[in-house]
Amino acid sequence: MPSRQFATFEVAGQLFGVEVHTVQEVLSYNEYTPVPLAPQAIGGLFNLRGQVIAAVDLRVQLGMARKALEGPVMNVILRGDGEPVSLVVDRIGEVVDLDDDTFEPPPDTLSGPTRELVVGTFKLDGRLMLALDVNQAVDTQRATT
Amino acid sequence: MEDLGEIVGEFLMESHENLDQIDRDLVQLEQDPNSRDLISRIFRAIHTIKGTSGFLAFGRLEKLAHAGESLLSKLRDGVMPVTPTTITTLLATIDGVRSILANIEETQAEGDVDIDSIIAQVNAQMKAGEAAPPAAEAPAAEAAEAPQPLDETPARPTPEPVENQRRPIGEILVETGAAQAQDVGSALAQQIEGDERKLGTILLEEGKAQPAAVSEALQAQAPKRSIADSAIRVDVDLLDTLLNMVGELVLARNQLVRGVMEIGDTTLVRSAQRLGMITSELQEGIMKTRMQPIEHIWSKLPRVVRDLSNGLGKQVQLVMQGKDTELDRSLLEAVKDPLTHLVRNAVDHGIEEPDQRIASGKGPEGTLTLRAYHEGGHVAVEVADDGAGLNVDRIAQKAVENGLLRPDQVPNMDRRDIMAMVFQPGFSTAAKVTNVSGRGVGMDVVKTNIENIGGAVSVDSTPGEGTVWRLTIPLTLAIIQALTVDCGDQRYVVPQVAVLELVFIDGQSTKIEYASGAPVYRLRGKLLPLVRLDRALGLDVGADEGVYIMVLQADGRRFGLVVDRVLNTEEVVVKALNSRFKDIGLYAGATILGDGKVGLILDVSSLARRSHLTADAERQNLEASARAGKGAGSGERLLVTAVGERRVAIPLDTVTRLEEFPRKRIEHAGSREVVQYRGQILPLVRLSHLLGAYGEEPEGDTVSVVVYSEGARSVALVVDRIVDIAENSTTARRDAEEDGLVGTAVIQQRVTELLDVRRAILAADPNFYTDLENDELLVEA
Repeated sequence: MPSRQFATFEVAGQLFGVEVHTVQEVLSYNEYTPVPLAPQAIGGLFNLRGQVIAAVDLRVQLGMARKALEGPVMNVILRGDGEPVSLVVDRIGEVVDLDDDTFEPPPDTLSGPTRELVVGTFKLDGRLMLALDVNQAVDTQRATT
Repeated sequence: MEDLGEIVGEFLMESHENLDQIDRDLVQLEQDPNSRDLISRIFRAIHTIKGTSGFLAFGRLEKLAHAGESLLSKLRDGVMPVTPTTITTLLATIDGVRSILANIEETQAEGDVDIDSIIAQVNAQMKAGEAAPPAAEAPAAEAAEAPQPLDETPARPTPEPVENQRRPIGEILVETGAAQAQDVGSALAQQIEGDERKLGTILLEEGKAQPAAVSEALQAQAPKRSIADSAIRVDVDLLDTLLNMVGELVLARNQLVRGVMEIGDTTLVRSAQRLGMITSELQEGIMKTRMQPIEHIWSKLPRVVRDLSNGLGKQVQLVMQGKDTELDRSLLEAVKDPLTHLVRNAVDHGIEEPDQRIASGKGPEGTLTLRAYHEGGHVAVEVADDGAGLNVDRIAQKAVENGLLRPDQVPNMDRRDIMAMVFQPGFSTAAKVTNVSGRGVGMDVVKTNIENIGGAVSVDSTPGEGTVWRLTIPLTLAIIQALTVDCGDQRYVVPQVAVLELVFIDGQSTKIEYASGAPVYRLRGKLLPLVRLDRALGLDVGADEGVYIMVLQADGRRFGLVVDRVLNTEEVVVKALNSRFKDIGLYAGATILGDGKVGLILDVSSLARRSHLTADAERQNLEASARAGKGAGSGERLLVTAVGERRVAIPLDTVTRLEEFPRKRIEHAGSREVVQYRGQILPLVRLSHLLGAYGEEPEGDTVSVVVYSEGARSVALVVDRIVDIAENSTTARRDAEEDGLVGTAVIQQRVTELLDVRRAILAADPNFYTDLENDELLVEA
């Protein structure tokens, strides 16, 4: 049975996951530099060992209000297309091995911005994990409502 | 390249350099056909290429080089004269060699470059040359001697020409008069007899020559190209890596120094300072290794100019000033194409044809001047021609046709702003499309390329006298001197090159004023348009007091940026910003500040542009004057306005505000025109009526007015447009014979009438002065 590894994290109580190979690292960071006039979803910029990384607020991407970046915030740093980009999340979960037969397309009742970011649903023990489309998730040019 | 082996790689690199030198020398030879030096140098260079290509078994290359060498030997021996045609043939040969080399580099084989036609051309040249020898001394025997058939395998390279070998030191000493021929002769005789001392030593020890003269002779004897021994080739990638690492080191140093300062341990502070100094020096050293004189990219231009001007039937002399000015290598690369385009453009469109030049009273030969120099942390590169200049009217017309400008904007625009329209995409005023223009590189591409490396482009032109294109290029890309500033609760970085000065606004002696809602500051009497950084960034707008104005210059414009606090200067490493921030346009990049946080680097030229997009015409003109008025005079300052065809000046200190009212807001009260203004009724007087300057009413939905206030009263003088602010330092001044004026003066080379302000005001409001005291009245009159 083919299986895939997912790195999981929580945003607003919902469990999300991205495939492990898309993730560079996970870290908590304190200081963000806001970018005035940038798209709403840009939480700010931070310094990752001398590299300037943009933090994308997944809440905004999912159509929720942005969260104030105060105190340590968890970042899932994705390799991205050419340069790393970070997803700001609430909490980091485990890395899980998931069989393909636990996969289902997103439910039809899922709508709004979330629908555009989610490629499918994995049925875990006791809860559901939404698999994110990495490119969509960090696309800040996307019109967010 | 990998399979080619080092020898071929080295050969390619060396040959490319040689070819560039040959190009330059050939073009120079055309100017100076009798220079034996040049011919020998070209000959040697081609000879080297021929020799090495034979050794590396590049047969076709060898054959072609041999053909060029044969033709050159005729020139060298004086059998044939140097003519433009010979030069063209030789240049064609060089181009052939270059294409073969390019093939070798790409495919490791010579490819199928058509060398036969070039060789045929060379043969034809030599035949023609022999048929008509230059001087009368054409012996029949020589004419009979047919040119060597070149399609045979060429002979192996001959030994180096004599002048490249060492000359005997005795000969040099005698020639310079440092020793007597007979002394040298006897010293030589001693050597033959078995004296093992060197010739110079013998002469010295016997007191027949001065030590200084001998050492000079020894230096003259040494081969000229000794630079090759003291220089090595370094891979540019390696330098880039080193530069990046130095960049990181600078960051680490900044963080360390800050940390150490907080601890305050004196020993540590001293070590940190020392580290700081070493880092700075190291950085400077690495930067220097990447610096190259601009000559590197200029060297190809004489050829470009020659080919182009010949093709167009123009005569152009190329003058280069400041060849040694150094630029970072990566910048040089980026500047190359724009510069070539500007040069082509200047030859094609700037400089006129010879008969046209003569008709306008100039010499038939045009001059194209390339000038490079340092200017306040920038390198300025100018391409100046002495041609006809830009046609401002035509540019304006074209801009209107292309929808880049509205017709009513044009009369209010500064001529430099109109000229700058040529940098807009899709703009070309070329009356005829030649094969030179329309190569896909327009002025807009020049502008984009230069702006991409943080530079700026501007153009200035005087009709009939020529055009100057000016590129302003930062010295280097990677590390810049910057000022850190606070705005809101964030820190931003402003490149220091753009900063002219800083002004603290205390709200008392220095304050921000508003011209029709637009913030301005009086900087030494000139109005400086202001941009509030907080407003530009969409943040909460702060107070007008206790703030700083950074006087910035970008794109040839000057403006003030209002920030909360200016902290310090810092060297910052520019990091590129992710493409998702490109659309904002306000940031040139990001950097890591000393505290480890990310700081945004502001893009000064886009701030300038952004502020000017919203600026109304008057404001633009006001800054135009702030710009033009750099040379501060001592005369009174005048606001110059246009009324019909006339120029009317109003003393600036009688001007309270400049406004623009919608035409439909003008109401009538009795026979007078008024507008409602700040809760008052403001009487208007049209200067055109007052001065009897009848003409077409200017088009447009708004009228420009000059507001004069005294006490609680105000009047507005309606003018057609605001032209400029000027210093009245001229002496040519006459008293007026006309009503409503106090005199005439020449301001900015134009006759300008000086308005009798008091009379104009009374025309608007006959009761204006009645409430005021008499002595004030006198002052005003």
